[in-house]
Amino acid sequence: MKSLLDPLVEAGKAGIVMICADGNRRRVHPILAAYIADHPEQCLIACCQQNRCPKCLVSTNDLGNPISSSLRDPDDTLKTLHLAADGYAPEAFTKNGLRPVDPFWIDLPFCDIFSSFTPDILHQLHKGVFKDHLVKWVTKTLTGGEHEVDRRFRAMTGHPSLRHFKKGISLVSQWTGNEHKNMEKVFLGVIANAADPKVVQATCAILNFIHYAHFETHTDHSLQRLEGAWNRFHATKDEFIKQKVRTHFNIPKIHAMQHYVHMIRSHGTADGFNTEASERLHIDFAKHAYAASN
Amino acid sequence: MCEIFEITGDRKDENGDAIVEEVELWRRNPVDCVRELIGNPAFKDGMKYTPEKHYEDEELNNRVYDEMATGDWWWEVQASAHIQILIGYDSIKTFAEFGTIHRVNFRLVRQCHQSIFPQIRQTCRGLLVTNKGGLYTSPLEISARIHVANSQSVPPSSSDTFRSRSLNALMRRTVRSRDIACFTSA
Repeated sequence: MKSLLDPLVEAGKAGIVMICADGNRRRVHPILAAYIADHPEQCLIACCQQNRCPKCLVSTNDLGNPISSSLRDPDDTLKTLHLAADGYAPEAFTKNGLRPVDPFWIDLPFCDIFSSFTPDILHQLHKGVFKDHLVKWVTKTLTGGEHEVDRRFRAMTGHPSLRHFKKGISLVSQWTGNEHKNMEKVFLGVIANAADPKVVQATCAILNFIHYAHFETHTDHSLQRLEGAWNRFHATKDEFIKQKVRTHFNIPKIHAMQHYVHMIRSHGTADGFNTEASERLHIDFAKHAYAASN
Repeated sequence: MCEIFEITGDRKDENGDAIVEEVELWRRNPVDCVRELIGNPAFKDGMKYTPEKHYEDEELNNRVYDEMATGDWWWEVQASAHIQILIGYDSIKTFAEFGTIHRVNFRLVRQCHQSIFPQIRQTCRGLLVTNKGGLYTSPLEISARIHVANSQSVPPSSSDTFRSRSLNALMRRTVRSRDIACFTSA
């Protein structure tokens, strides 16, 4: 990675004159702004443990709490990593959950790698928060569990804009972004009157959050709503503990929701960083190429 | 371009030495990728060369965020780059001070006395000359902000820093630090 990005170091510092699309010549300083990766890769690049947040210094036991902690600082992190590499055992190394990795971003100019990690709607919200967590929790709170959820999915009235899951959802083996979105559209209707009202409220908050996070254009007002949905989830999530479905919410993906508002304000809306497009390209570039090879 | 890397594995061969394997790494120079993208006429209309701030209302209260150019990161990274340039030029200390003020917040800029503006314009011009071709968008960020703060003092030649356009039937106010010429003539 370091040798891959090496040309960017000099170019970012000194600038390179390039002919732009409008015909003008400009001195361009390419600077790393966004790094799109999934959680394990983000942690590897941030040199942190996988049960930690790659963006901020929140401790493992507070991942599920709505508290804000200071963001990771590249200079401090490098200092700690150097100390650890020299054989010292700095306190910050264990406290900040670091691990010994040689960071590639060390020489990149004006680069704050931790603030470059972008929101990832597909992996964090659809796959992480919705499918792996919310659906499972809610299913556990229902009497009848999976069968009841499937029965209710089957019983949904059809509508041209909604997909009808005629076999329920427990048998769906390939969950794509489309499946998630279609389930999210009807999920609240599926659990209404079956789950505890507080569970429905928490579900509603998460679904609202996912929906707002999709916006291609945000304003200060819509970002307030996004934050409001996040707050409401944290205000109602204790019901899952009461019903003995969860003992804690210290999950990196639940915590990741906290950084959405800030990232949209600084880097623009999350649709620009969605991994769905690149996952789709897996099919064209990786699978087709593999099929064409011997 | 292709490079051959030698990687040393953690498995040992029969002599007890670590197994070494040669792997090919095919890659492209990212700078060439940037050059290709930025120079491709197909993206002519979508290309942004400066950060922007969009507002939904006339009072500039409800900020609009969509593409990256409308976010804060771009403004901030140019401000920091700019301040590094300023450290090299000791003679214009007032401006360096102002540079830190303008980063704190909008209201501080608003409180600055009006008479400071000609001086700043002067230093901006000096900076633009000394740094021609450098990272010069930041002084214009200040200019855009000053103009927002004190629209009476906007010189007529730079009135195009205010731009209104309709988007999704909403009137937005776009503050642009676009035109270099407007500044040097101010």
